[in-house]
Parts: sequence; C-alpha cells; structure tokens
Amino acid sequence: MPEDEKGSRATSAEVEVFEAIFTRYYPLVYRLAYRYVGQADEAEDIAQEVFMRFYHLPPHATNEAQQRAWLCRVAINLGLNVLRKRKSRFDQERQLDTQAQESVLDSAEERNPERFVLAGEQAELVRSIFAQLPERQQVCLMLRSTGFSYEEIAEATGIPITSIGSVLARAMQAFRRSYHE
Amino acid sequence: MNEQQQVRKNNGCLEAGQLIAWLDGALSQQEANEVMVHLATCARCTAEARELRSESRRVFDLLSRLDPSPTAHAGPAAAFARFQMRLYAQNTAARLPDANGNIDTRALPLSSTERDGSLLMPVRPSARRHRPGALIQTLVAALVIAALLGSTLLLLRSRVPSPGSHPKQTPSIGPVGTPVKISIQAGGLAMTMQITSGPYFLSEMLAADLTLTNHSQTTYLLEGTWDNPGVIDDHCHLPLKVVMTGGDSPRDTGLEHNLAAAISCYGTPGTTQLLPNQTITIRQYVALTSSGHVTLKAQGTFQKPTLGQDGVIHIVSTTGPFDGHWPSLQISVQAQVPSQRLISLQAQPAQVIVDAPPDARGRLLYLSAYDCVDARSSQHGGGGYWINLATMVIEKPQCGFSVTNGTPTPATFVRWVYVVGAPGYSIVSGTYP
Repeated sequence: MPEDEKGSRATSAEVEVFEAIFTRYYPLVYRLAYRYVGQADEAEDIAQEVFMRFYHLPPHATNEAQQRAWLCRVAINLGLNVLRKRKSRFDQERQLDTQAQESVLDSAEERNPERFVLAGEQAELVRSIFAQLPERQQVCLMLRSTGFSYEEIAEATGIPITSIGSVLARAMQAFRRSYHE
Repeated sequence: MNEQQQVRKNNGCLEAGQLIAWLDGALSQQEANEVMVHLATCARCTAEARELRSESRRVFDLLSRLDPSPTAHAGPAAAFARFQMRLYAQNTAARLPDANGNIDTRALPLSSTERDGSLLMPVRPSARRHRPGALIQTLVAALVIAALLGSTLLLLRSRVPSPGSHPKQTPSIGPVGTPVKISIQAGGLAMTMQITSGPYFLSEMLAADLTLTNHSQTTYLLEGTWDNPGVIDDHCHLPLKVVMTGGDSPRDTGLEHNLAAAISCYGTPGTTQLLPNQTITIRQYVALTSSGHVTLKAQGTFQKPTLGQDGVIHIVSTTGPFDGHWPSLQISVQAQVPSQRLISLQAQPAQVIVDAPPDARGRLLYLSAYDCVDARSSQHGGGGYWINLATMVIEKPQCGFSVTNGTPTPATFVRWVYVVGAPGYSIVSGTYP
C-alpha cells in the first residue's frame, strides 16, 4: 500500500484512484515522451518514471486539469533531460571523432528534407529541428500540438496565458524556417 | 505590458501572437471581434492570418510524425503491470530515488496487487535481463492471470449491453464508387458539393466535401469556424455544412440518438472570412438515418459587421449569393445494409472491439463522449468530432478525480457514447453502461 508523507499506509480507494489516473493518462504521457526521445524503450522508461514520481510525491492539485498538466510537465522535463544528455554525449564524441561531424542530425547536407524523406528518417529531421528551438517554445508547441488549450498550457508551464500566442507564433515560424533551410 | 497585449505593430497591424490566439479561439469575444474588425479592412493582416493558419497546420502535421504508432507500445494495463513490477523491485531494494535522484530511506509502498499478495508481472519486452527462475515464475504467473482474466471477461461479457442498433443486412454490392459532384456559381462565388456515391443505404456514413471559392473582389464573412488543427470535422461550428431532410421509415433512431449525445457544442460559432481568390474546403460526415427519398443540401450563413446602438461593432447575419440556390442532391436510400459495407462493434467490459471489412479498416472514424460526476462537479469528455481510428480496439475512457483537502476523490463513470463508421460503410454506435 502507498504511504503518505507521515509514513501511514494509503487506502485501497487511493490505490484505485492511482490506477485510474495511470490508465487514463499513461497514453498521453507516453506519447509526449516518445515525441521527445523517439525510442519506445526510453519513452516507456520516462512514462514509468513520471508515474513513479506521481505515486510517491503527488502534486498538490485541486482539479484534474492540474494533475494532467503536472504529469505532462514532468514528462516533458524528463524528455528534455534525455535530449540534453544526448547532446552532451554527442558533443564529447564529436570532439574525439571527427567522423562524427558527419552525423545525420548536424550535417547541413543531411538536414535536407528530401534526403530524410528518401531515407525514411523524416521524423528524425523533425525531432532534431524541434530540439533546437528554445525550450520555452518547445514546451508550448508540444503541448498545443497534443491538444492542450492556452489555459492548460499556462497551467503547465507558468507562462502567462496572454503570452502563449506569441510564444507559439515564434515557435512555429522558427520551426518552419529551419525545416526549409 | 505582456507579449500579447502589445497587439499592434508600429504600422497598426496585429501581432502574430494575437492572430494565432484568434485562430486558436483563445481570445475573448470582445478581443476576437476587435481582431475581425481589423481584418475586415487590413489585407496585410488577413494575408498573415491565412499564412499563420496554414503554417500551424503544417507544423502540427510535421510534429504528428513524431508520434508512436498505435501498436508500438503496450496499452495502459500492461504498462501498469510493469509499474507494479518496478514498484515491487523498489520495495525489495527498500530504497527509492526521489524526484531529484536522491535516495528515500523510508519504507516503500505496495501497489494494490501487492497488498493482495498477487504480484504477477509480465516480462518487459525491452532488453532487460531476467534470471531464468524468475522468468519461469513470471510466465507461470502470467498464464494464471490470463486464465483468471479470461474467465472474468467471459463472465462479464454476458452482462455488458451490446452496442446500439445494428441495421439489417442485404446481399453484397460492389466497392465504393466515385463521388457525386454538384457545382453552382453566384455573386462571384463558386461552390461544389461532393458526396460519396450510391447506391445509398440506411445507416450509411457519407463523406461530404464542400468547397467554396471567392472569385470576386469582395471579402465575405460566414458564420462558423473553419480551421481547427487536428480535427477532421467539427460538426458544431462549420461555416458550411450539409443538412439532411426528408426520408421515411425505417429510421435508425438509435444512431440518431447516439450521434446527438456524442456531439456537444460549446462556445460561439465565430466567423470565417472568405477573401478574394480564397478557397475554403470542408469535409463533413453525414449519417443516413432515414430511408426512402432523402435530400442532402449544403448550407451556410453569410454575415456582415454592423455598428450597434451601443456603439460596438457586431457581426450579424445577412443575405448571401446562394440564398435559395444552395447545392442539393436528392438520393434514394434503401432500408438494408449491404453485407460488404457492414461495420459492427462488440462490447467488452472495458473496451469495444471493431469489426470492419478490410477496405474500410484504413478509413475508420470514431466519435465519442462520456460523462463522469464527483461530489462537487460533473466532467464531460470526448471530442465531439470525428477522429481517425487507427486501431480495432477502443478502450473505455477513464474518469479523473478531484482532490479535496489532500484526499483524492474518484469520479463516478456515468455514461459513454461511441460511434464508429467509414465513408461508404455503415455507422454503428453503442453506449456504456
């Protein structure tokens, strides 16, 4: 049985509630994680970790929307962590191996969309361009594209609702510009 | 001043953020009206709004390519079993890393199945190492669980209500043919209505493609919202729609009822601009819920801005070039569904299994709505619009919960209405419980 912060056991009703939340939001959390990392195993690990944190340290949410926002925010943060680690590892490897400079993601030639399409790797191109956006833009765009309203995005990110449109506009313009470079 | 309040550039035009928020329906009615009034007189902003609309569509389309395939991962139930496995492993280790990666030395919690003494976990499909003994134990346990679940499902299945009306079947007909197309022109506007070809039958889903092009130099306003990223068809607030009239018995009243329950309209319709040389294209799905002679007619409401007595500019309905001339089509609807066009649903305790002819499987569409209540409020879920159905299994929606004074309160599931169909094939629906 789960324990609360004082160490007392949770009730079976609370466990059932947790199961219901898990079942309801796991697909969304997994989808967000997968969009970031692009690998099923890593996405599943992130999704599991999100719910593990929710289980042990549940947010002080007063409604369902806040819980959903919390779950998505943690999923995105963990996804971003994976990308940062990848980038750090990649940078180190690149210093050691000049061959790595021809990597698919960073080579200007390989970033040509048509080549990616031909290689069946358009998703990787999209992911690499997306990862280059400022994180604030990434998060807003990711949440909006998965169906979040402006109010929910503001709830999840802390960005004022009146600024969401501007962030999205800049994100989309930057994304499209990079995609066509 | 925040980013969006600074809505005007130095040249008096609207900021892209304001336009995006307007396109996304995120502005208040007053703000939206101000934007529309400006757009009615500013070609530059109008062009930018059009570009932003198509840009957001393209970006969302590209981002959707990052999504996992529906079959690329296990469902929530299997994931939850893995979660329990992980929890169990942490329990065994008696150490738990917290959100910051630190080790929590408190005694660790058990999941509900652990509490019941029946921790049985499936094998993780990824490259995790398992001891042979543990693997055998897990497999044996999984078989036991599968047997228990199977018998439970069999027991529950007889108690689950079957999906709604299933029309009668007739002998087969050929594949879905070329759509029927009707075109009209008036007042510099050209419109076409294209409908799934016949022969038509009761409970059939038709795809209606409506195209309206402005060949004049006048900007027209239409009541309704055209753009909605990610949405195939918003029945509620489309600027153009197909309305079905006429028909006779037999009718599919069960389908009529479930469609009405699944489509909930919120908010105001908004206004769509049709600029010179602009074309808007809308796809709508129509359910033939009556047989006999049926008329399918395109409809729309033209609007204009007007200064009200309160000094505020309002958008009001007005006459339009197609008044009395909207394209229409009379069709004859047979009372029985051809067997090759039949889609059926099989209700399970927590999911619905879809059965459809092979040709229909890549074109299945799904519409649903569900209601939950808790002690303080009611919750309504479901899109109210058709979405592509990539799987043949539909999971029953789950209710959320509210937290009062730190205590989570689960909401009670009230009702789920689901509808599945494909253009040229039957539409079937059901409710739960």
